[in-house]
Amino acid sequence: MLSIKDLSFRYGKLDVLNGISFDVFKDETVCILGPSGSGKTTLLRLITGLESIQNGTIELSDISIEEKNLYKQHLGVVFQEPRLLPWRTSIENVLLPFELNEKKISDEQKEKAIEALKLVKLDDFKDSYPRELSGGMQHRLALARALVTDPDLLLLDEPLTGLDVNTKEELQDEILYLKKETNKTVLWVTHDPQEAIYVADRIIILSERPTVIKEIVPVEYGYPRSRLSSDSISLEQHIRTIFNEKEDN
Amino acid sequence: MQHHLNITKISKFLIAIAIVTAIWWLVAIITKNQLFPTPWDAVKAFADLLTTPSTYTHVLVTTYRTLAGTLAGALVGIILGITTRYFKFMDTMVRVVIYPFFQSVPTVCWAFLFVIWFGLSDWTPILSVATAVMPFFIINVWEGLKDIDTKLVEMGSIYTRSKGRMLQKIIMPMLNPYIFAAVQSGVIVAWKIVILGEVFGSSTGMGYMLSIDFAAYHLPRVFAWTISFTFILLFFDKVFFPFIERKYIRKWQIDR
Repeated sequence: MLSIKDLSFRYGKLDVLNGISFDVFKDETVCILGPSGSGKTTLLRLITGLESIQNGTIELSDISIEEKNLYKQHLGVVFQEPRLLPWRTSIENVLLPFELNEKKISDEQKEKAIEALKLVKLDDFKDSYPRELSGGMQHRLALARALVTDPDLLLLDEPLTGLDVNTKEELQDEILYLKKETNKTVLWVTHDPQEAIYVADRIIILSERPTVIKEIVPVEYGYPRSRLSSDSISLEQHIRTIFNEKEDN
Repeated sequence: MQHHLNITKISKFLIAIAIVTAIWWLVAIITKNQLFPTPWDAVKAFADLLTTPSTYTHVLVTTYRTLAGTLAGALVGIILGITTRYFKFMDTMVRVVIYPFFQSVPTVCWAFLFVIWFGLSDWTPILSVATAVMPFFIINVWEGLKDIDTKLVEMGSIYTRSKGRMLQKIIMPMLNPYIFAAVQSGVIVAWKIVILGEVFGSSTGMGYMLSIDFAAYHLPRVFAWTISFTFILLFFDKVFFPFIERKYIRKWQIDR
């Protein structure tokens, strides 16, 4: 599905990424976990095409990132902040990806937008403006926008930042439900080990800059998961040990 | 509470009007109506204007020229402002040559040139306005472009590489409040310039009528036209623009 090979990146003289390689397979949820300044955002910007590749390759559904138009059609992105257009209603925000690519919106696309809103339980708010929605609802709306084009890969960049614990946990469950409903492959970037353990099939742990992959940890127990099970607690300890090992080195 | 505030506001307004009228009347008495008609004479002349059908034709002509000139200046100013984002050459051209030039040439110079080039036609006041308001639009579009939310632009670029669509769907809506601010100040300035342009180079419009009454030394009518300008400007400034802002512009404003 997503294949990244030998990806390196520098900002001027600063080495940010150093030979990153990994695959994300169909239907998987892979979390990228790393401390602040570990190059997670740069990695994500490279995958989304917001930064140009200097070294290495990225392929999504066998399409190289060099074929930008085609590549982007297979990608849905949710950012840290919902990044909604405040002058557009919910449905108009969800229709934006279509409008940015086509002159006229078809009835089928309008139906897809309604479906996406139903998936995130916002169909009753289709004519509301973002300012009329709560923080959690705004994040769900951003999720609907990312899903409306039926992308192969859903890329989530710390999508629950800034939310209270309850809303955060609700949305984690909701994203897992959506993933199951829509059979999406998910690449989820987070700095929270608990979140990674709760949602991921595999966790890619990044080092600090210059970033390399420290370890890839499989999460081998199924869903639904408990946040406080002995399995998850011991896995969290293991992950924190990997972080501390890095600091000791 | 709100009701009480409104009453206070209205009474303050009425007191201010009464004071101005009293001073005006006093000056009219002192100058024995030679330089100042009494307020009553001005009101009678104003009422006379209101009952003369041709007045409305002249008001419409002036309004048309004001809006057409503002629209022309807006189109050119917005296009020039936006090109600075996409073409480095245009950025230098607009910043170093076009904006300073149009900003510094007095409107009356343009008015004279347009009279020579286009004679007594609609083009003279329209183009005088366009050249005068264009810098408002250039500077406001610049300011808007500096302030646009780059995260929204980034979000849009995930879905398209078309600069035209990005401009239409994401960047232009963010510029709307800035363009509206330019329209507000532009229209007010435009009214004053159109009147001037019509005095110099037109055979219709409120400015032309003002010059006719001025030439005939018909003071009450000169004052009546002045009152008309004031009412029209007040209408735009206090009624029309606030209404448009409340109804259409607020939704474009981004809270950050």
